[in-house]
Amino acid sequence: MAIKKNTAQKFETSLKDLEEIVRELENSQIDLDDHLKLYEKGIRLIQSCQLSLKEAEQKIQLLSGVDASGQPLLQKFNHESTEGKEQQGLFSVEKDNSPS
Amino acid sequence: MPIDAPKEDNFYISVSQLNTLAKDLLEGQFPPLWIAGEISNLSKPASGHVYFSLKDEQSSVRAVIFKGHALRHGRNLQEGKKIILRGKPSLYAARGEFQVIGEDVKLMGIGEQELLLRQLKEKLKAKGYFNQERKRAIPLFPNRIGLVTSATGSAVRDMLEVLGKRWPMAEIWISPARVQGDSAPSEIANAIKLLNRSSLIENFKIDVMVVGRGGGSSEDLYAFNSEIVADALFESLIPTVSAVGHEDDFTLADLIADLRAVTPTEAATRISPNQHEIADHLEASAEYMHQSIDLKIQKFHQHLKLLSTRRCLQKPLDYLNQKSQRFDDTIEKFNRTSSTFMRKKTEKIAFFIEKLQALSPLNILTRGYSITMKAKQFESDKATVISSAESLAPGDLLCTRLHNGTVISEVKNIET
Repeated sequence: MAIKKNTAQKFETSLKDLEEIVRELENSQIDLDDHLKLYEKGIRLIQSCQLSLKEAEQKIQLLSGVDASGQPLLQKFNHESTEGKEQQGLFSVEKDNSPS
Repeated sequence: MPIDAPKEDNFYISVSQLNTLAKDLLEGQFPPLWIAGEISNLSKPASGHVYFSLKDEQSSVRAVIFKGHALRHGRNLQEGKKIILRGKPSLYAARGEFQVIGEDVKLMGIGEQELLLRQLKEKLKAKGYFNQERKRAIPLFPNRIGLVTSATGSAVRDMLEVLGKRWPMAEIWISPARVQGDSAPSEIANAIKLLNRSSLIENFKIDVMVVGRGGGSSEDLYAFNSEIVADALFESLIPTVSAVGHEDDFTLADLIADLRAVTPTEAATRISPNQHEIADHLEASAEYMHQSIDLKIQKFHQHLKLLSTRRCLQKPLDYLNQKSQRFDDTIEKFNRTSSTFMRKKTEKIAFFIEKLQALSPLNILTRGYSITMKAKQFESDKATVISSAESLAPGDLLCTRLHNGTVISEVKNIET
């Protein structure tokens, strides 16, 4: 089975591809047609990366053990960001056994 | 420090003023000193400051170590321990009590625990636990991050705070463990193993883990110096980052981990890319690409402009006209030379024709001569010129060519 890339890996690959494109664009010998193609590809990569960043939502889980079949037992861990507000309950634990 | 006498119109001073003067005097007089004694009446209230008496056979003095320093030296601060305290004599102004404000603590002699730790360190070093070659790189863009620490301490809060700001793309798995108390070593080791076991399951790969505690959670480094935690870190398939919150001493965990961070906040920062920096980088890249394409087009534009000023484009018929003129010239020249040549040749031919005509046998015929040939009987026969009577016999047909015609006749008789 082919290894499916996770979001972070895809992001990393996109960033690397983007750097490669910028490097190629620095070469002034490149002709206009190729230049336009690279430009288009680069802008697409940038937009997809920006979208990934925008949509990223941190998932925090509490790992309490593994079940009989070796699957991790996970619970949702609520972290209240202290940014801009007085923190009250630091966290609370809810039952949520579904992993990513 | 000189002390001024009270002024005349104010002949007394308050107790507070007295104590403050005495405090200033004391603190101004003594450099920091190393003071040897045994700890008694130890008290560690919630404030984090540590209070005790330092005594020897004859005397005792009150001592305080404020929170910041107390955290670092807490493990040596136990009832009955013989220590050397570095501190400055001072006065607790509120009670007028003489005291030493301590900063640093050394145990007198090497304690039993320290000896054991030293032996363990040597053993692990021999086993290659601290080798630099086995340090793994921390991934730049982690997808799943494991945190081994107390689920209720400041460490987990600090790290979640940092990771939330810098890299929300990563999923975080907290593998909880008590970081102080007798069960801490085994809980930490088990939490590390649990993350490793989960990481082996498909789609649950954990890219990096932080093992640590907040600075305020405990003064005891014991758990992070235990062999069981050392083994778990050494065997971890997931790259490890230590964050024990202790700047001065390197714990065994610090020495074994792939990366050592001083605090949980630092650890979280070092394992996560900054999404805001990346966003800026993306913007800059887009800007660069826009500019580069503009520049390219501008360059072409200039090139085109330059080309369009060239003569061949400005007056495209020039070239054609020039060539066509030259063509005309050549034709004319050719005509000129060839007509002279032709005339000369024609004259020469006329001369030869005249000469040929003069020599033609046909010309001789006009003067009354004729050519007699044996006439052809069959188509295949050759008409042969008769030059001797002997080649003829009566009955042969003769063909006589005169200058203006041919006569066929038959041989009647031959005389020789």
